[in-house]
Amino acid sequence: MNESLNQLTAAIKAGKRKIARSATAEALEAGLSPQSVLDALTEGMNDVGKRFKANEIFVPEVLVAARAMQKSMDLLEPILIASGIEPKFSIVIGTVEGDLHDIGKNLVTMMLKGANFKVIDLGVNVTAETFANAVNEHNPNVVGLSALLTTTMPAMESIVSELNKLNAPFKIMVGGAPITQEFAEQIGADGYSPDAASAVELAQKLCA
Amino acid sequence: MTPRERIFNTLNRQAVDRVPIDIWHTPEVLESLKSYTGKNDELELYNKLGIDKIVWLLPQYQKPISDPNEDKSHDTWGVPTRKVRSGQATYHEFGKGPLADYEEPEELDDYPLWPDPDKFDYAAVKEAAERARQFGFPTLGPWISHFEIYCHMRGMENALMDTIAEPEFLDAALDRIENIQTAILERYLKEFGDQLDFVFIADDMGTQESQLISTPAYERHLKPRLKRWCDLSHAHGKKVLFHSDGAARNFVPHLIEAGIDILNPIQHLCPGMERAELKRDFGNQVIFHGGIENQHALPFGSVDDVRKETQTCLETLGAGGGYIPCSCHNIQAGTPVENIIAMIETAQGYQPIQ
Repeated sequence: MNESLNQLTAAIKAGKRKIARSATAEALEAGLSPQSVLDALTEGMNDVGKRFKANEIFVPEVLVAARAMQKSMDLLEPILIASGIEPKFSIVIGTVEGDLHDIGKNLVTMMLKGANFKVIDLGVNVTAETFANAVNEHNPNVVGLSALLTTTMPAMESIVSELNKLNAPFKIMVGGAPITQEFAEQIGADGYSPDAASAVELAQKLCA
Repeated sequence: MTPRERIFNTLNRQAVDRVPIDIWHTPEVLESLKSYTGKNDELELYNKLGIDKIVWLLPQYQKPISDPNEDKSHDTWGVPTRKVRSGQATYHEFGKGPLADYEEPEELDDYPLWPDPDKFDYAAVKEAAERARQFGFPTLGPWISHFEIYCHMRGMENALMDTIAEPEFLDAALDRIENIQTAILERYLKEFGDQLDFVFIADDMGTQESQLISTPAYERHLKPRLKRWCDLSHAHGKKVLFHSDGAARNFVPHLIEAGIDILNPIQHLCPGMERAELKRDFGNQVIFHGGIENQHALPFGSVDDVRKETQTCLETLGAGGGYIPCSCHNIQAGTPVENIIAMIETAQGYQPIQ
């Protein structure tokens, strides 16, 4: 494997954004394929996800890795688009109506991007109508809903119920501090994951 | 026994006439308890319900820090806040951290809104303490914190990343955050004497699933600071009630080494926080406060679920004493009053197996 690609993977793993950017620039200037750069980046984030799930690293380490990934993507993304390389799967994601908390949702978003998902992030305080419009517009494989507060769990339930009425082939996954597998099943979601790394695995499973 | 005697005997692992029961709640829950009891006064309400309330002594900042040109308010540290609604709840959401764009430690000198420890209303705190004593309630204050305040001022994601990428900046800001609150704590310790029972220190060190920051980062940035506050409190004969939400199991030995006396709120659904195991491993070194599950049982469970939950807390965290049952953090808006009463009555009626 090319030295600059190794450097890129290592920089993502360690959360070194400057090195991530310079290694990406070097690789592209050397004429390496954008796909190979993307693969090096995904390999780094995949490792971060694994270590996070194993409790070897924690949210801060994931955040700096994602920040480094973003620096690389800033250079890579226009070239991927120009080359017609598109993610295979897409997800619409948002924090449910009444809830403004987005650290967990943002972590999931970053890890999904790191796993080469196209992510349509609707932000916070998202209504059933906004989710439904996004489903119609983007035709995603998965819709992801997040909630932190016990007081917004009822909103998650009603949004899932509205989304399940739509005639489209997407799956719904939910997460957030007070959410459990039991609650997910009870409200009619297709999946639940307790952390951001598992959320990526779940999304991949739901797309398969 | 008075509530204060009951709480102190529990702390000192001495006999009590019954197990104490404390409560934390949101403003909405206070309103529903007012309707239930017919008491408009908070302390009279606790008294009527037989709650052994550890009364908060929180200092209000006197200096006006809101900018009249902006339709926003700021907290004590100059962090913008706004009121938001979430389902049945209303709370204050933090805006962009005022230190978010700072890069060098020297820039902290120019931050205009560091609070002045002498500009809090200590006279009002003293009145509140005196009133608590009239009811026989113990007291708790001030609310001081290192990393939580830093997270508000810097923005949470920035603050978390600083534990890895900007350790010098983090230390410089924490120095200031610590020094200001050490001055507040000293005033409490010197001026309130016997009217203050417990010092409250908060720093959430767990997420729902794991520890919030790495152990080396904790040991470098936070543990020595916590120890300084514990030492100062102990030098004045006060016990420290320390609060950390979440899966904080890996930090408990460090917290005990730093000198905490009481651990709150024991979010036992989080990995590593299982009640019997915590009691087995740390029950002889620390008193537990909290425990009664507040993400499922209290807000959404039946009265019977709450009774069972409270009973299990008493039998595990409370095995052999050393436990002050309380809702695990503030009871949230929409929680049925019957569930709250079930929690209170189960604790009050608890007969330990001899």
